[in-house]
Amino acid sequence: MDRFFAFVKKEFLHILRDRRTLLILFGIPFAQVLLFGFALTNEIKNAKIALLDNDHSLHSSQITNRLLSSGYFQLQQNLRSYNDIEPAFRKGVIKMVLVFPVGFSNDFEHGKQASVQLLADASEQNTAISLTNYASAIIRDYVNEQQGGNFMPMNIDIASRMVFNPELAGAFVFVPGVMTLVLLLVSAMMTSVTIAREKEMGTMEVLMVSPLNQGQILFGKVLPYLLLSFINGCLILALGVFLLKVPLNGSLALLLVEMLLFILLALVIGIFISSLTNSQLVAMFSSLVIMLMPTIFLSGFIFPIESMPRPLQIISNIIPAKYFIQIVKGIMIKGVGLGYLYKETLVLMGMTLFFVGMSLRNLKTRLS
Amino acid sequence: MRRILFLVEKEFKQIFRDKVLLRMIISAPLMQLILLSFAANFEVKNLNIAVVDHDHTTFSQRLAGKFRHISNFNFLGYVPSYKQARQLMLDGKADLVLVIPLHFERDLYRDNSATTQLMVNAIDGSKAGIANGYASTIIRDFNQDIVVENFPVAPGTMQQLTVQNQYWFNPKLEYRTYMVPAILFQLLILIGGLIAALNIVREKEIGTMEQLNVTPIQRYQFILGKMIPFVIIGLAQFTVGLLVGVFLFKIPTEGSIPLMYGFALLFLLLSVSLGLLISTLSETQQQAMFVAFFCLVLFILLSGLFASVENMPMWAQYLDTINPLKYIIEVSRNVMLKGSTFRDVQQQFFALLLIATTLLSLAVWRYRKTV
Repeated sequence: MDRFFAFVKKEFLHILRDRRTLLILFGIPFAQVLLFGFALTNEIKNAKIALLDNDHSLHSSQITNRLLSSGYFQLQQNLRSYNDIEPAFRKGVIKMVLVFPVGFSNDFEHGKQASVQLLADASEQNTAISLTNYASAIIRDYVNEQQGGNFMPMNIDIASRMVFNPELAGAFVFVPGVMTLVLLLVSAMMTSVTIAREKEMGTMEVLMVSPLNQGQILFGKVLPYLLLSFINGCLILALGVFLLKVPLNGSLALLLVEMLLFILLALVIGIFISSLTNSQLVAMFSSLVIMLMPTIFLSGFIFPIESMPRPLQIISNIIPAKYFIQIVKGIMIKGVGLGYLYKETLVLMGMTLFFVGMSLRNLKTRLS
Repeated sequence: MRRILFLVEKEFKQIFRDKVLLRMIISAPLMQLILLSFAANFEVKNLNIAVVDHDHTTFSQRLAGKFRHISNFNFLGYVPSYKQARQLMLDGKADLVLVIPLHFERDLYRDNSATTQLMVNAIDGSKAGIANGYASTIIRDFNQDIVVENFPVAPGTMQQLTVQNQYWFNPKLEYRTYMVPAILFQLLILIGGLIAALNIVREKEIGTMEQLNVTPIQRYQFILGKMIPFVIIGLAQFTVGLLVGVFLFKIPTEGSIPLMYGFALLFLLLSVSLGLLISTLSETQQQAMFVAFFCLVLFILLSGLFASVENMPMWAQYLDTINPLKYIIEVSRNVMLKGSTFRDVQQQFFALLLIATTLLSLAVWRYRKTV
């Protein structure tokens, strides 16, 4: 046992000595949470638009003023003809062009079908949709006012209640997502690379001839990362709860236990990856391709799983992150207990066992 | 010159010898392209809806029936009580619950107004917003139906205005049209930056760097010898990605192909310089990997790949002036989708050139032939 502790201590020293890596390990969650929390928004403000007003009338200028005073839009350029539109878009500054055709006011006054055109640069698709939605809503308001809010018979009011997240805060999605990503990054990628490193440098053989057995070596290797990941996870949790106001409705103890389970799974996957290769570069790329990319795209972190094509939905079932994200959301936001989450928990346990088995098999062949 | 060629030959031999790595280099970008094109979709489909009907009238049943055979919705059925509906939400089985109150029909006839309640699972806020929008539209449709049945209106004395939306350069608003050009260029920094950095640190770590240092190879020859292979691999990869994008995903290429290759080359030089710089700052591959990773994550999140730069707060936009990915992503969308010419994107060109030169000078300055 003393030997084992000595070994663990050596591993800790290795990690603590490398200040730069350590700094980045804790810097990544901070940076991600801050960026996701404060920089990445799809809220539009001061989008640059151009105006092509062929009508020069009361209504066209009133509508333009409405749009510009909303704070969403900022007039960048007045265009003279339809042919100016494409060059303006090509420069990439103008995001939308507002076009009033000749006779617009006249048609509108006389109850004919008047129309205004919103041309959006959809090479940035999300922005384009938001811009046209905002502008349409403002224009529709204007029209309603002009019509003088008339009586609507048999009116059904819709009282929408946003359950679990009344303010539609984005943090409810990305805090569990970032947590999952960082845990995977630290646990799986770091372990696979460290073990590959020992092999690459030849120090693995030195370890193997030491009196420690295989299990002790592996366990000693992953223990520091388990601790690091756990601290990292708690850090993100604290940032989410205190800084971004994500609720913690369920039991903290359960959440921490589930976190440990997930970290364990990630570590085992890391060991599995390292058992496949002797090169750090390959270990890193495998972690990237096998774990990080599928986690970002297929776990439901950014893109909803239900909208994917069938085959990808099926593949998403073998992505561990999917289950962990559901567990975290369940405990933190819905405040449910193990009674609701036992399925996900069992899946994670099963996966852990599977990878333990796989790694043991690979290790044995390596020894013989 | 011959020395450089030997170095390049050596690099290629090393890369091609490692079959696993080779497979990774080829598959990683393709996988990202394919995953993003198919999985990356903010469209909201298959919303599960349950109905709590306290009214049991023709109106309430017709309203519920509206959700039955409509794409985007998946009608789960009736639930007897509010409590059970909430249970379905906790289980994650229902995305929406429509609650129709008692006397819904009577109130509509008598008071001309009634309220329905729509509960939306809002953990994913943006999805909830869209789901709420869809459901509200359907309820409003129903409202329109019953109004028309009961109050036939005299047409056409009111002022009317239609708003026509046109989406240029991506008329069907396809997510992949928006994503693929940006991804094509973003992959280059992965190959150039990450692999180049690790490659050089590896030489340090296993000691072959010292062997190189005692040869008569000069500084610039070593750096060129390391840069050329990765630039070539990057360009090959760009070509493959471009072919996949154009033929498999039908991404338009409005702009000039040479212009795109020009930018790809410039961006690769920049990425490899970044990789070189990181490698001179790191002792171990693990360090290099994490430094590179940290930079890449920041670059990517701030680049406008997912959320556009104009909507970010000012501090983030200032940070973005030194983010090479921001410029190249603007260029990729402008040139590929809109057909922008060099004059339209010259500002981005000079910014990238400046960043590349700075990075390369720093890397050359930091690189020492001594240990």
